[in-house]
Amino acid sequence: MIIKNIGIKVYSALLLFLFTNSLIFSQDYKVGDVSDGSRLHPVHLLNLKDENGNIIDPNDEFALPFSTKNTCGNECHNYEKISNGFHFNFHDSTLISKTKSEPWIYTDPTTLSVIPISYRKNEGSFTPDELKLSTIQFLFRFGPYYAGGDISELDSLENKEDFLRWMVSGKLETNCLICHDADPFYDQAEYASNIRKQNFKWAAAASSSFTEFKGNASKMPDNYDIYNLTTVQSIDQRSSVPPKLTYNKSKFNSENKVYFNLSKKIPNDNCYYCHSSIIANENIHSNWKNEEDVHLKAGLNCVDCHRNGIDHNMIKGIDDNVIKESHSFTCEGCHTKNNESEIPTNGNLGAPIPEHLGIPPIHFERLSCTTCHSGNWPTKETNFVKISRAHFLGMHGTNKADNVFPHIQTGIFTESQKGKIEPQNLIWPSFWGFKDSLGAANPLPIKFVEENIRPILGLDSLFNFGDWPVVSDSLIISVLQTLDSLKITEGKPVFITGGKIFEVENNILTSEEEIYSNGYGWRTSHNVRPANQALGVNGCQDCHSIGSPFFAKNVNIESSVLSTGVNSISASTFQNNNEIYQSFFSLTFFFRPWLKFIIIISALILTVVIIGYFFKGIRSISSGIETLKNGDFKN
Amino acid sequence: MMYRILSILFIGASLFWLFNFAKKNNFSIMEMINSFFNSLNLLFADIKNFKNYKYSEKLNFAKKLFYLVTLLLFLIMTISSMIPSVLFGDSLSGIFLLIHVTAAPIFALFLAVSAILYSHSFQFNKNDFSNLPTETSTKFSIIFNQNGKSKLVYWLFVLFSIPLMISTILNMFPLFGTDGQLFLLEIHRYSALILIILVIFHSGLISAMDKSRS
Repeated sequence: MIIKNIGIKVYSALLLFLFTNSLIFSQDYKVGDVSDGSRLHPVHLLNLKDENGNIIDPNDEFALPFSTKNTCGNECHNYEKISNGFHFNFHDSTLISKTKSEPWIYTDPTTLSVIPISYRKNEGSFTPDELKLSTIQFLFRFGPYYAGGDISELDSLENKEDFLRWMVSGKLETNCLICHDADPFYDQAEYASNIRKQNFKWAAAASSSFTEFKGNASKMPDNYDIYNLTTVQSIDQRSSVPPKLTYNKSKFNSENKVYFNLSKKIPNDNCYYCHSSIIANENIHSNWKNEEDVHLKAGLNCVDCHRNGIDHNMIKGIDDNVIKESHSFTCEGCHTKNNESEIPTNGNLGAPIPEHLGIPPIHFERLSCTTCHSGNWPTKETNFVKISRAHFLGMHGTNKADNVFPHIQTGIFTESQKGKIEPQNLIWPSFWGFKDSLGAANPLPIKFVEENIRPILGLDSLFNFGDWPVVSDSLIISVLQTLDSLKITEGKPVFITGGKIFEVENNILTSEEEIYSNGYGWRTSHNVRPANQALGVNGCQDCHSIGSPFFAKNVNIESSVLSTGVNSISASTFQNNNEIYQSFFSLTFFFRPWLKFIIIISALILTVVIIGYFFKGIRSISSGIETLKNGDFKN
Repeated sequence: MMYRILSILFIGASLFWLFNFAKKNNFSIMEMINSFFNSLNLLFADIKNFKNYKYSEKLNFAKKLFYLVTLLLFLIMTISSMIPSVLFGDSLSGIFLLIHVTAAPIFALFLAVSAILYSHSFQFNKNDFSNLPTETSTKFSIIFNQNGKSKLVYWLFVLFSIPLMISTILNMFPLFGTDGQLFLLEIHRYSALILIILVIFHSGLISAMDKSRS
């Protein structure tokens, strides 16, 4: 009987244990994910926890870096849910997007390569897998602007050959601090340099304000162990210091808790680390001459529009099928009248609702708001733009030259996949590849190109710096013939550059236009200019004048082949417009005052005729009635 | 969308009426079109004799010229606007817009001059009604005969061409916001639709009268 009772108790306890655990783990919202209604921001005085979930003691000589997964996640926030958010969920195949967006750009002038890369398979870009770029290689190139999690954390995505490197570097967990740390000493550039050194598990901690970090995991041997110094005996420690993190003890209280200056309302500067852009014109080094977005100047933060829930699915400023409320945070959502619902949803955050006096409605059908309101005022020649993720802005030791590669042209008014004209940034992809049976060009693995093609080309990246290198036809032929002889793929070797696909036929370099005939472009939305500086403020002639930059801007084609020469195409090409037609149409604006005058005069004449004969008719009818009254039926 | 549906319905119904009317009055649509273009050809061929005409002949020539060219321009504007807006459901743009805005001021001018030249002769009189009161019957209701109908169509055309023009001209000044612009565009479109229907009626009535005269 006693045994039976004990058995029931043990069974009940086991059930209770399993039930409560499954409850905790199946929770969508952890304690910190749900607000009690107070608008007060909670103070984050926390125990730091390492990757094993142990509380960190700052006095520990071999203190491990704190883990965001265990410090921020675990009990307080749903780390798994957050890690599926927009900034992290790169490998999620359900999010494959045909819409072109800002790619990661692999640039190497010594191999004549400019390749748009995207895990989300945006049309015209390639995935790291297609370039045989392992996650570690991807992180080395682009990790400084990657917020961690997902591809840098999932074992299933690791390259087996990199297994030991991952053991040394540790996982790059979702770094909550890169966005949420409002401490002015939080250092994104330090995070970036640690990613380059493969200090993945230290990166978040190393960039916070209460630690000091030295070391370079990429220089450590594959069997490196933090607790076993014999593993670093063979390393020259004058140049390659083993990773060592020291916590600033004065920042910890008696319970080993440390204060994080975290903010739900992300400071703009934190967004700027990855999302800065600057026009590479004469003002590039004079910050005081460069304007900021009108919304920020009005007191808004980036996250006032680019909001998200606990799932961290960011609102991107466009209508999004996933987030049903996304329309309210588009330009139209805030700035146009809402005629569909009785409950007004427009005018959010005091957004002015423009009248757009005299602007024909076709403009709103054919143009995005950003066309007139965003970017720099259009000029005849395109400008280059420098952006954080392509030009490594904000990092230590970044090349500050205005013509640093990749050359991204900005302010190209282009018809989007949705049929609206919008300002876009543009690159001209350039890469070595092979043509498959369907005629599509696929790039060769980056490593292969670096090892086999770079020596043949013999290009010096420092020579003529700023000008994209061009090589002779004979050199291209020689490389393509070498590739053909190597028989590395079944397809025919090709070289894609300047919107053309080059291949060798009977020892002659031939070319044809291909998928990149208009380059690779992606929309830009900021900076938004004040309304008084919007296109059209001077009248129709801002765009509808002969040779206006809107339609006739010269867009340079950057090609690596010498014989193609320096080419440019008209901006009209990107709009599916014809420049000659646009010139004719612009010419009609010269006669527009005449047209107005003639139509006004004609309408006046017709009105006078109608009124005149109307009264004449009334007079005739009244005299007719008079005649009838008199009994005269003949007249 | 509503405009597209209404346009197709009303223009379709008008054309249906025209076919039946043509059949009833023993003329064909092709005859009607040929007659219009033949008149135009003859008129243009006759321009060189204009100097030798007497004053009354010159006036008649001018009246005919303004009438036929106004109709031709109206046809051009109808085609250039209806193809994109009704057939494809698009806004007027591209080459169609270019044709439309080029023809528009000439059409407006020719219509205004035509109105001056024709309005006098298109005044209603007792011959335009088929049941005027008589000594035996003082009952009176407005029933137009074919001549009267043709005059009514003319006056309606002149009347509805005014909102057509005013709506488009107001669109070109910075007076109305987006909602106002859309409203003006609707006025322009529906006025144009009414004018198209009136022109179909006019063509039928004029052809029938020509046929009966011949």
